[in-house]
Amino acid sequence: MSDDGAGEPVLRVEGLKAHYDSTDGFLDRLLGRSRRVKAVDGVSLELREGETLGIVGESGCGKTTLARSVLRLIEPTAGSVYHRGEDLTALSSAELRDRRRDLQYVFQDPHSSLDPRLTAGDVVGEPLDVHGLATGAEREDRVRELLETVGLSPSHANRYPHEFSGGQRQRLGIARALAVDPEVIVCDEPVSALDASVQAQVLNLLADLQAEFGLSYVFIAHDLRVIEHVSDRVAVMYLGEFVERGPTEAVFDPPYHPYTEALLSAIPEPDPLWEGDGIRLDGTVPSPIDPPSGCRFHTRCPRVIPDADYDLRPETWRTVMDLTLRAAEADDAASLTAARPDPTEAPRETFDGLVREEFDLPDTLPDAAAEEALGEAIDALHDEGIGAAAALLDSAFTSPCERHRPPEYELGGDHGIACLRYDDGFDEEAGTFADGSV
Amino acid sequence: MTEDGERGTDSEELRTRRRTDERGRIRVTGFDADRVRDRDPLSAWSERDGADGGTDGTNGGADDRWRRGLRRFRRNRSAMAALAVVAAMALVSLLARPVEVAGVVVQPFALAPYDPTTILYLSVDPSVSPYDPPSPRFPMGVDGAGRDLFSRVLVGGRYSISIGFVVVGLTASFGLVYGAISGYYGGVVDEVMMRVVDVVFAFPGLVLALAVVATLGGGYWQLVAAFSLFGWAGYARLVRGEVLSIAEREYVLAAKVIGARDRTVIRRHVAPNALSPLVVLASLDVGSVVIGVAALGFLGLGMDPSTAEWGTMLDATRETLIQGPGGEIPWWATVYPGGAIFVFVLAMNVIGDGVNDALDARETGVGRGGRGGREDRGDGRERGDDR
Repeated sequence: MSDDGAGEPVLRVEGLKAHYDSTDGFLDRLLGRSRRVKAVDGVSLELREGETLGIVGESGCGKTTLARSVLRLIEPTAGSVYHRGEDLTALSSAELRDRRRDLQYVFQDPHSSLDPRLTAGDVVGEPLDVHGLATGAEREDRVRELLETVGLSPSHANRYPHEFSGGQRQRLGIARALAVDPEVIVCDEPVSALDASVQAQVLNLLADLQAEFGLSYVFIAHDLRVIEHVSDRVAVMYLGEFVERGPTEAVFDPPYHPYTEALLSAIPEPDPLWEGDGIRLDGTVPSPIDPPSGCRFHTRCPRVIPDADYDLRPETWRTVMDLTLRAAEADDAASLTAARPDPTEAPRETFDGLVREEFDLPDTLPDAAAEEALGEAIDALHDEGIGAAAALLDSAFTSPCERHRPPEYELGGDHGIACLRYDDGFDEEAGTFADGSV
Repeated sequence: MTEDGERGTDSEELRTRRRTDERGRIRVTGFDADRVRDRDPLSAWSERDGADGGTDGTNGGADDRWRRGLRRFRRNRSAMAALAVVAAMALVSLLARPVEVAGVVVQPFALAPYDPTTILYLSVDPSVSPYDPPSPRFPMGVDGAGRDLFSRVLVGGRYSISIGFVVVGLTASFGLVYGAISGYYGGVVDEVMMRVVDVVFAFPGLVLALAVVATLGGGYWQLVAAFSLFGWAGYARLVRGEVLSIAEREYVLAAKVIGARDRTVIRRHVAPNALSPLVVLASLDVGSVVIGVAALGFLGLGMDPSTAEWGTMLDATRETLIQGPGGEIPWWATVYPGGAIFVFVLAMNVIGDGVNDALDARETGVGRGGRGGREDRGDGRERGDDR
């Protein structure tokens, strides 16, 4: 599905950013204390004709915002969206309304996306009215035809949305999108609100429609199995950015981005003899208001690159990183130790044990330098409080992932991964790039 | 999980298989979509299922809500009785005297025996004197100017009742549009429009109406203007609160996706869905407008003093409240017009309460007492339907 010779993709997104202002209250605005939620932060993608581009990621990583800002349902903060060579972000609202005949959207929730006051026929016929595509008997015919196309009975045209099941409502939503005969449909988790068996029906319907009308889909989901089933190409999204993308097989097979790997390992496997190790990601997605520096995934990455100064195993390094990160955010020493009302009362030795217990750190780190730095930090935590300890930890333990924002590394075959581990020039042992920079 | 052993019934394949970390070794059959479609064809769906889905409250359609509300209203006996009273009063006042439009009689009935402005001792019967008590000939007595009170009370309903509905109709429609625009666009537009509403609210309504009537002079349309001028603000605020939550719904976004203009979205999707709390407030408001008109009439600022309007009639006989001629108090001159106002307003309030109950106050956002929507515009956002 890669090169069909058409050259220009149907939809091309360049450096799209969508930031929200989450400043609350008049006073904050007056004092200029603005807080920007970077829901989508520099995303580029191409959608080719007749292809399905899957976008996958955890809740809260900006998938829906991306989908909506591509169609300018949310005004993008920066970046461009080209459809047939024309920049959507530069169109006037009247031109954009016209353009919506080519670009459509299917919503996640089939319950709230249908006006309860309109009959099925009105829901499907509304796009026809809005664009003046058909009137009178012609409109009637077209509505019936659309209902049939999505597998609903034309006799249901007079029923209200609440008289349909979830799957049928989603079909209605699809029929509404089809009414204007679009080129591109952005599907925002179209099946995640449906039962498994109905999911399959709707996915098959979408596939049939794609074959019949030559549609291109941007398909958003958090379910990797669904994505694998429908997509020609996949993009994995984390905190408003793409971390990996490429043809479906390439993304679903090694080499992986560590985040993709974790997502893939979370797919349930029905085989009772399956022994793959599930990778657990701790914590939630960090706040997009103030995303982590460097690689945004470094706060949770199981494969975060260790500091070249120390010789530690990846798991141990991960726990040291967890300690460092938690110390930077915590308010007092109590939140860094295993349950104890005021742990600083405890003698130094016990306190040390409590901290290590909380983070599953070994009694002594295998690397002497690392152990010394950790010891110092625990001393500081015990005697001087959280601030001093956080500063010590931060200066002692820094992963290259924290410092460098990885660009996307081409792995061939249109497959790109944004992870420092895939930088050929980066020497993990020395912690330096090919040009000698740190 | 042991590989072999106790479970001798396991299939040959499962027992011989090795543990694996490769995915997709098991292929479960029977779950392919084609078979599922065969098993649960669309025709298996029946209307019964749909109706059940509608009444469980989680996703009740609007149409269903109105129909259910009507059913509940019909079961409410006091509300139905009040509705009958209001209908009867409206009908009687309409049929009281013939109605002529451009010289053509469109309503020939005349339930009232005399013209309301006829002074009986001048043209009908010289023996009648002012403040004659009720008698078979004049069932409600005669007023201070020698006019038949019965006729005047019947015809007076035309002004009092119609002015209530006209004012509420005007204010509610304007408030709906105003509130819908304010809530839909939000931001600066909302801020400015709601500050205007605050300004209107800052005036005590009746005092503002009084000032308007004092400036424009009395008369039917002047009264309508006086009450409409501040009456719409309550509706605007109520609708705006409701629209704030509706505008967040995905079907509004869906309408934008298909390329609908803002005004189409408001007209087709936003305003109709904000209607039910508006209806409740409006039905309760008719009564208060009628009271307000009567109050202005009583202060001598409503209609022309000779007009047969209930409040004005009370004003004309005000002095008799203390003492009439000959030390006797002609109670009929105040009791009948006052009673008419009382009965009508009471009936309207009972209807309003009935509508409120029928449309379920929790769902519509108008709390008890009818004015909840004005004081507490945020109520509408608490509704938990559609989610």
